[in-house]
Amino acid sequence: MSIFKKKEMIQLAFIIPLLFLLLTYYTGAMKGIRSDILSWGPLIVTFTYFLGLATVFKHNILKIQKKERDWQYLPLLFIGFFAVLISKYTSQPSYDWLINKLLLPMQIAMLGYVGIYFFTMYFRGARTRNWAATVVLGSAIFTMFGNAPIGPGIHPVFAQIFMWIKDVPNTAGMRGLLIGMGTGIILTVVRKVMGQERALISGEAENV
Amino acid sequence: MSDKYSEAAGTFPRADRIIWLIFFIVAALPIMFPIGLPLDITEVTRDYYATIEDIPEAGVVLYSFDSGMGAFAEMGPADIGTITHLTSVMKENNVKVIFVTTAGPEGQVALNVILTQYVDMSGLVYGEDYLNLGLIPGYESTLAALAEDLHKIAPTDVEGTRLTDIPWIANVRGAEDYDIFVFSTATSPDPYPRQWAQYDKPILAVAQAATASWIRPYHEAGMITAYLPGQRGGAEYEVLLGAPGLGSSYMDAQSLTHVYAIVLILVVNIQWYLKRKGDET
Repeated sequence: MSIFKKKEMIQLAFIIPLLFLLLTYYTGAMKGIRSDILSWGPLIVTFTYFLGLATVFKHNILKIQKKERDWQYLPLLFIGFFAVLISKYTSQPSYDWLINKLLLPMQIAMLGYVGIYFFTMYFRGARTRNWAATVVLGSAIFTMFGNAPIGPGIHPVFAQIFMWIKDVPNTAGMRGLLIGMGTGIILTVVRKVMGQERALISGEAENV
Repeated sequence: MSDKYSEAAGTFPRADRIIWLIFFIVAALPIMFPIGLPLDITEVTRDYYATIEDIPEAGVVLYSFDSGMGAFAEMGPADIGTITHLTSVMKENNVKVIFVTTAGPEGQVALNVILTQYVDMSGLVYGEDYLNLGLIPGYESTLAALAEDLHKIAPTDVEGTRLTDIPWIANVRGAEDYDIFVFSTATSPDPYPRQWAQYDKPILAVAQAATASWIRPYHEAGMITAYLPGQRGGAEYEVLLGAPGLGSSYMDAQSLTHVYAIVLILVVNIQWYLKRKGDET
């Protein structure tokens, strides 16, 4: 913010998207400049990785120094980080072992754990308390039976009902959601272009 | 039961432990002793297969591999099936594949696990038949830039070789030079059709079953050509490829665990209904 004042940032946020929209998207003009600007994105994100890393280190070192709650587990973060970093560049077998024997099974276990909790949910929460809950549970039963091979194996009607749920209410709902999201994105762009959306310059959004 | 549950902070009630134990048995048994339940192949999976078969001679595929290790059990079979099929067209039709990761470092880890442990890459030469551009962070802006000008965003591959030194890719600049886009994502599929559909090239997607409903409107609008939803999609693809693997073995487990879930729902509701009726009388 030392070179550009807030006013210039708003002007840039007005000019660049407008140029992209009016010139490049519809006419193909200034394509070279557009691809140059697009290639800045990955560079900026790469620097955010360094920023994130520095923040994680700073935050957790402070927690260890202050001996905050569960600080004993935090050194594992640093051990894990340096083990992966060093092994990647010095010993490929060690790196492969870390990935295949630790990271892969642990991450699959984490996701599997969510699945296991679903079964507790079926046992505790899946009750037909009202008509809406009955519809949800009915859809869930037909979806589960239709998606797994055993459902159509028992009777083809399970697959047909599943396909209908998938193709009609489910797709219609998602389509509505996507249209809503798309409209929201367009509105955000318009607000940015009009200088109403100031979050990018640490300001507050103005009410239109 | 709920009071006991909240009182037992840090421990699990007996009912939960029994539910999980039965789940473990129901999921593990069919993996150890496959049942081999027949699997219907859906139209969208056939379209996916046909799209890869139709890649022209010496065609170029841009494969954005953005699913991580956490989703490997769910998406691994579909990714493995896709890459296995691509290797066959690479051998038969001299098709070239460019792998890249845009969403986060995990994609490269999962891709390397698949390429080294699950897919037979023999007969294919890195650099000549396929290329890995590594992680180019930026997600949607990277997807846009890859379609705009590949060389501006990735001057070298993952091994540091300059792209201009690789003859077949020297003339591949952007979307007009790719014959097909493929992506694999465990999260939002929105950015891919948003950035690529404008180029009017086939787009194939590998997604979690949970996000398949997210992809379906794009598929119906013709923006995504075909997709493989999670384990089920992977299992169907294995049947089409004639190579049963992880997906097929998981399908039996999924069948039985789904039946178990439905039984739980029914038992709980019957029990609840009877209790409510008893209270009323």
